[in-house]
Amino acid sequence: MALTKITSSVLGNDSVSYTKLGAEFTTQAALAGTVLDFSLNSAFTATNSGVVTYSITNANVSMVKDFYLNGTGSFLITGGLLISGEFVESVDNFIQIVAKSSSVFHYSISQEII
Amino acid sequence: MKVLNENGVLTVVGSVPKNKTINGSTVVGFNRLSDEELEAYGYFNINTPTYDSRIEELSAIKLDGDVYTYDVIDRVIVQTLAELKTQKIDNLKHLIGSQLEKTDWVVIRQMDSGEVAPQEVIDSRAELRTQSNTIGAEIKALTTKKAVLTYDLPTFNLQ
Repeated sequence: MALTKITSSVLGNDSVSYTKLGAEFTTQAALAGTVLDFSLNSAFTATNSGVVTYSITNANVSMVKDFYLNGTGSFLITGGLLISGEFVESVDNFIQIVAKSSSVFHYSISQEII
Repeated sequence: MKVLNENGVLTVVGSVPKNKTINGSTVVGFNRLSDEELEAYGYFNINTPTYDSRIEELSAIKLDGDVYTYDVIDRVIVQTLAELKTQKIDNLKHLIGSQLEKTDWVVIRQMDSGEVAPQEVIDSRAELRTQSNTIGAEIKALTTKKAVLTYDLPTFNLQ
């Protein structure tokens, strides 16, 4: 009988390593525009300038993504609610975004301690 | 200082918040938005008129045309004209007294030991008393509360 579906019994314990994970869990990409596609990368980078509205697509509950934002100005993430921190200009801001739902996100901003 | 206009309700705010959540999204770096951008969120500059806080105060903020501003209104002065004059003259006496105190020791020394006080000290003290009398008379001659409150006492600096 042909095996048409992988079931958990086929996977051995501790058998899924980092290298087996998809790109959405392992890759970082610089944003070409202002859309963070949660299905494509694990981390995103961008340089802010002026007032920028970022949006998130392909999000699902409890997805967590990292967004490294440098630059100046102000920004908002559509559906994004800041939990703590603030955007410091001209340094790397580590923004960790958690999807509460596909359209509502909580995020915090922090910076490296110098 | 800006005023926040929320559906016609005006609230004066000391500063614009760093971050502000509007319609389910937080604007991070809200305080870095330009005046024009802030206006889109209801924050406007205030045109504060100059006024003399001794006798005037500002009304509640209002929208006059497209300018947020205040009316300058007269302060309610509860003291009587006589009370204000007494207060002003007391201040004058205090100022003069503090200047005379600087050379009291010279006069006391003369009384105590007979050492004659320098003439410039005697002259300066006499001049202070003359000024005190002159200014005191001017204050007593004032006829309105505003005039008393805005009467500026001179600065003395006896060495």
